[in-house]
Amino acid sequence: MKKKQLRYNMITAGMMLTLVVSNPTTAYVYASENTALGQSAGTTTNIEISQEASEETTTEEATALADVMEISEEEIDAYFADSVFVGDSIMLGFRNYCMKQKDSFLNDIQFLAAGSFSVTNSLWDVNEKSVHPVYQGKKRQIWESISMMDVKRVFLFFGMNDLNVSGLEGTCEKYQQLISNIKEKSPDVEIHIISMTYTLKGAGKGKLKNNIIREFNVLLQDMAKDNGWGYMDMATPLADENGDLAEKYCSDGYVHQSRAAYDVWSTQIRDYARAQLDGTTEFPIGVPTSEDETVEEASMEETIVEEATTSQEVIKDTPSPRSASVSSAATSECSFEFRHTAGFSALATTTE
Amino acid sequence: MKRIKIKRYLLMLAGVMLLGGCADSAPADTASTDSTATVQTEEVKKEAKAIADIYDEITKSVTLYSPFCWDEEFISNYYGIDVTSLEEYVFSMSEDATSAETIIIMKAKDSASVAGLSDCLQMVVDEKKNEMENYLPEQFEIVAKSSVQTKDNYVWLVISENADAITKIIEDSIS
Repeated sequence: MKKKQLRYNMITAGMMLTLVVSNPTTAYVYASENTALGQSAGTTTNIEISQEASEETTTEEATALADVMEISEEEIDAYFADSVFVGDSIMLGFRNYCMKQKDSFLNDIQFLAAGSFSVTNSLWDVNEKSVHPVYQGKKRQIWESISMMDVKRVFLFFGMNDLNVSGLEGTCEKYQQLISNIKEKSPDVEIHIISMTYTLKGAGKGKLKNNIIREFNVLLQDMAKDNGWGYMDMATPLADENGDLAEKYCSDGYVHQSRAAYDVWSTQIRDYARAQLDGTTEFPIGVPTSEDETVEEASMEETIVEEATTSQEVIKDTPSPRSASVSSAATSECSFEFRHTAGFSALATTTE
Repeated sequence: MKRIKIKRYLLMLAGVMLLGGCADSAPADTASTDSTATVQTEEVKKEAKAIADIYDEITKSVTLYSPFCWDEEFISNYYGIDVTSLEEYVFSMSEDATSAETIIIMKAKDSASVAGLSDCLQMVVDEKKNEMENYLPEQFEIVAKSSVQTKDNYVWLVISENADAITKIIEDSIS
């Protein structure tokens, strides 16, 4: 009996040692609750030592990674320094709001906005009657103005004046055409699409109903993912519990927005910039992603799970800095706890 | 002989009296010229009312709809206005995107700049007309009634439902 126990302890210790030596940064310890063979002072001590070692490594690496990924407020300010926001009267309201914010990053943003502007009429020729934002003393096509501005990022906000004219698919086609024209003149700019926002409950007319706006925003998301463009949800932060534009954010009983709404815009665009800069965004620039794959899954390295024999399992993983989840397996007879050192969240799961 | 002498004396007396009358009247004309010049000087002094003061009077007399005064960078960047050609100005537009209300008053340093400034303000009118025409008909009507005005080195544009009252304040202040 003693010989059997000694043999068992040596095998266990050997496996633990192998695990720690082969992967010092990550250790997944699986401790069996089968008391007959699995519990002994020596084995427990070895497991505790390796756990402590991995904990220290985990903490150090997590700290290091946190330092790397933390985005400063100055970096976020700078993100918008070379940006232009393009859109309709709602964007015009945001322009007016931003221009009043002296000594703020908002004051650095450039705008090309006009009342009743749309992707539909943005494609029209410039003439006396056309609606095109003025820039440098002249009415111009959007893509011409953008090419003169020397900006890095273009944020587009359209749809409100399009859905009743061109429908959902038609508006998407024209949206893509507008972006194509912009990229032709300014190939290096980043494209960021801002979702449509909702109307006040019951105020929508024709196709300008909130359920249709939701559909349109899904199409915009798909378009962004397919083309590696950014996508910013501005609808949800301004919505009430019913999915309509919240009353406090509406200035005219219809679609136009109040100062309180633009306060939300200011926060939302900063959160968006942070997500773009630290890589947590679902819509990374220049990286087209399919419907079935999230950015996190695409950036994770392959997870290898090997089932150990009988009472023990060893989970081995070498996560990338941006991974956030690791798969694990456990039998009903065993408890396990695992920690991972990388990513933005730490998971601790215990099953019995 | 005596009659001839008397006639001569009478003629001489008449001549002296006439000369005295002219002499007497000269100082009176000078005095009136001086008073006219004084009035004109005062009137010239009245013309020099600052645009900032004109705008201040407007805001006290008329209720404007969320007005906001735009700075040099804005009016230069978007409307192509050469701010170095301006002696003083105010460029006020409503902060609300659904209002076309606009009050712009500019004084050029040089009268040669007036035509170019006038063209820039005409662009503002055209821009707002195009935006509002099929969008906000009430606002379009207000814009349609407006026009760019000039006088001496002054150029101004008023788009407002209170345009008449505002324009009177401007005209009274600069003329």
